[in-house]
Amino acid sequence: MRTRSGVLRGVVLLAVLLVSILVAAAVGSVAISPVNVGRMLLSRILGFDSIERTWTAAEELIVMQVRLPRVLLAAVIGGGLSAAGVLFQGILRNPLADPYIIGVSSGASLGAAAALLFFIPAGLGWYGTLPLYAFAGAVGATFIVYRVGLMHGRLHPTNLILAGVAVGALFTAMVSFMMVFKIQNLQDVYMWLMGSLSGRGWRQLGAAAPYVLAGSAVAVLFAPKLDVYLLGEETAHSLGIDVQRLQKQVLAIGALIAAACVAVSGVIGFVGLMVPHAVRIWIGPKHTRLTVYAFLAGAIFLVVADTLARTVFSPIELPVGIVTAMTGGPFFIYLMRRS
Amino acid sequence: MHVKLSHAVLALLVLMMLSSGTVFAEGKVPQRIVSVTPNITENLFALGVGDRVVGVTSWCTYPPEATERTVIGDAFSLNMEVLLSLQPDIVIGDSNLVAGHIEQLQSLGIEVASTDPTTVEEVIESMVTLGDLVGAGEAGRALAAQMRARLAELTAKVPAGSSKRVFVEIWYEPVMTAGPGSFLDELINLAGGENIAADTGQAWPQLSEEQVLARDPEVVILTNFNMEEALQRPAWQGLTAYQTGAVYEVNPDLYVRGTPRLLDGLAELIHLIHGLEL
Repeated sequence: MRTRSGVLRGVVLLAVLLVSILVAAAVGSVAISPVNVGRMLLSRILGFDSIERTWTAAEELIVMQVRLPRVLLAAVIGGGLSAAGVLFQGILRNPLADPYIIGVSSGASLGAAAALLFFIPAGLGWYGTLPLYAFAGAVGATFIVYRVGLMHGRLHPTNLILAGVAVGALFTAMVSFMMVFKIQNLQDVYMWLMGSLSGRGWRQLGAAAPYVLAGSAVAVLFAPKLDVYLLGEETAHSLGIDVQRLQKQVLAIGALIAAACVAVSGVIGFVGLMVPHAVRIWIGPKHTRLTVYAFLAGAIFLVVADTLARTVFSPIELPVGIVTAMTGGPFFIYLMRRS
Repeated sequence: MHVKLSHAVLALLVLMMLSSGTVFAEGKVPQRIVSVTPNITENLFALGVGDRVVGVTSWCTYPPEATERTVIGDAFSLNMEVLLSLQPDIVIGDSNLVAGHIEQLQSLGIEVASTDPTTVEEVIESMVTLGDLVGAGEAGRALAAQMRARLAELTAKVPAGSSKRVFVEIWYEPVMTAGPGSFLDELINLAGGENIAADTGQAWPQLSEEQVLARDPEVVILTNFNMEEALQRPAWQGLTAYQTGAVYEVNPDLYVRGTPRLLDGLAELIHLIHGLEL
């Protein structure tokens, strides 16, 4: 009975996600009739060639090349950050853990800032390489934190969190240091640090989606072991789980997902912290369900947040990181007080 | 001899075709132009093609007609939907700003162009480039010639051998000024001033307040409409500029945007530094 209602909730969540993607593709700063958007999607994506073309070329460019990839990217990143949040909160046994806790965001920021201020040559054609630098920074920082947190070959969650805080502070200071000395291109760094999906398209989606989707799928496979792990390391050990190995694997998957997200979108805060908690309050702590539902809920949340970011003050777009914190913060406080 | 001459003519023709740019290669003049930086907007209007500018940023405040155009974003972020809905023939910007958006436009097959002049001479040359790009080559060359003439006329008025130490305040906390590589530094030199930040080697260096006091500027130029606050700084009262009342407020748009108005800025600087009525 419980399982059936759980599956039902999952189906509902999936339906809500699909609807929010469609609605988000139909609204924007340029008014395009939702009917035309629907016909366009049927014709261009599902291949119904018989549909008469009742829209302009500009409208098709806007929906197919700007809106749709951006909405899908929001879904992938919101889902990925939430799934990674579940992994980190579980493996570190810490409710304050988020996908950035072991240095991913500060490392990505350092990589991106160094690239924008020093490495990427002026002029056009190079900005597209930015995610590579950010990704390298994120992976590098995670590796440093991991090495620092490793004591006598064993990982201790507390050490890891402290190492993450220390390395994060160091890298953030290095970003600020570079920004003091290099005033030009500062606005690029600021916008990146605030997290935004503006100007992202199929290319960025193609770069991030494989890591995020594969990583999240693997995360679901690890969920049963995480459930046992949360009973205590002793118990997990006695049930035949190699705790050290599990910790390393889960951290690696979480960091990879988070790094892929951060690399293309910049630092979008709060999603990976709040969504796992909200979903846990809603459906309980079992990790299989938690991971899947958190992915779906995070996807919905970021699709909605980014739609607000690009429409509320149109034609000016807000960095979506501001929207996630401003809407998510109060909602999270409400959830906490209620439960 | 004849053969060589014909080769030279041929080479010249090929060169001309190559350098005439893609716009002319296709034989059409862009009718719908989107500008993504304030200086490009100003320059397009100065070239007399303002009526073909269909989109600008929220920072494009000059000339006033520019504010009547559709806003497609600000200096940090572009709204791609609004921009594409304008169906631009060309998008012109600065490659240092919103590079990610400009590259996305490029990948969508939109014609994009960018300029990023860093000296007054480059600004003058950019008028010709920009003019050619939008089918206003004549106007571009005329504007460039006019700017060169005005530049010569203004610099001729600068009294020889009467240099003054100038400090330009871009920001107060922390103190930030303009150094080599910025239009401001070049304009100060052209106006017969001596930039107290000339040795910093950076376009937008920070200075400590102590350094400003130690270098004792004879002229202080404020760019943030903060005269009232600046005049009340206790530590600054002893500066020569404060003692002689040579603290001035200017409109930064005349000094940081690569437009014909840079020369208005130069005229103002010559006036402020040397007390000349121009």
